[in-house]
Amino acid sequence: MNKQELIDKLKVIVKPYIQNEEAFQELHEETRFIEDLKINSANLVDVILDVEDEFDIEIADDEMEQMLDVKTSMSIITKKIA
Amino acid sequence: MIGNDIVDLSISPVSTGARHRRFLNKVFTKQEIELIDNSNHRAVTIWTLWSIKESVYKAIVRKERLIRYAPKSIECIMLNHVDDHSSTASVDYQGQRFSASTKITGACIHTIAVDEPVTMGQVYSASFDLSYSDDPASCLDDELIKALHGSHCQPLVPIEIRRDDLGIPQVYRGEEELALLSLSRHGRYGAFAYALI
Repeated sequence: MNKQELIDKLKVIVKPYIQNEEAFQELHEETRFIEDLKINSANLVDVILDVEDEFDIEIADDEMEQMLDVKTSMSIITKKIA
Repeated sequence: MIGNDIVDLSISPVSTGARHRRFLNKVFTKQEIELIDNSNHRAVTIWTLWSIKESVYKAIVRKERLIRYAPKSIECIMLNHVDDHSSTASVDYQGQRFSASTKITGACIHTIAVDEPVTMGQVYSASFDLSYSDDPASCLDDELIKALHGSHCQPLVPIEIRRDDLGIPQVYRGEEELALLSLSRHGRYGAFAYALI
């Protein structure tokens, strides 16, 4: 899976939870889930669960702790599916 | 420090089955899950614990100025039901102790958390149904400024709310920081809690 495919998949996952449409439209690697997309903390857990389902991986607590932006999420997912 | 969190129960469903269990395991410690599993009011217990942990989390972000999402590092170690609608709690975060106080009004759960040197007695808080407004965020700001004017401060210099780079709200009168402040919004509800400096 290339970078763009991964970003596209993440976009589909976060879409139901975002509260800032503009930041979502311009989503890029540096986009932060809480500050930019305004995803609330309860939905942040939903994002993690959806990522686990979509990629058939398990996200550990210390990884979840860092999954606050697109870039870090991509690097954690990439490592797991490699 | 101070933090507060509001939960609109009407938009906080409790999912069922395997996904629900996975959600619980990501957010709550073993001891907290036991409390949830033994509760007669499962949804209320889940979201009460959630709002306790979240309000402590907000106090920690203020203190450490670091956003880090580790809900299990914040553990509710004692939950005491004062009556059907209010609870107090003691919370641990890496050896630091926070006290929390929760009130349930209709579909709204509101929690305030403080740690030393701030005490619960110093906190002024209120929650609102903001569903009538097109712009609930500024509505809440207005309610807060009204409260600060009304009961605590002579507004010789205008009071304003600023937000820093982490989005943490602060309340100023001129160049003087007036209070430790926490704002929260969820669904139709909004709330604030502050302690004057």
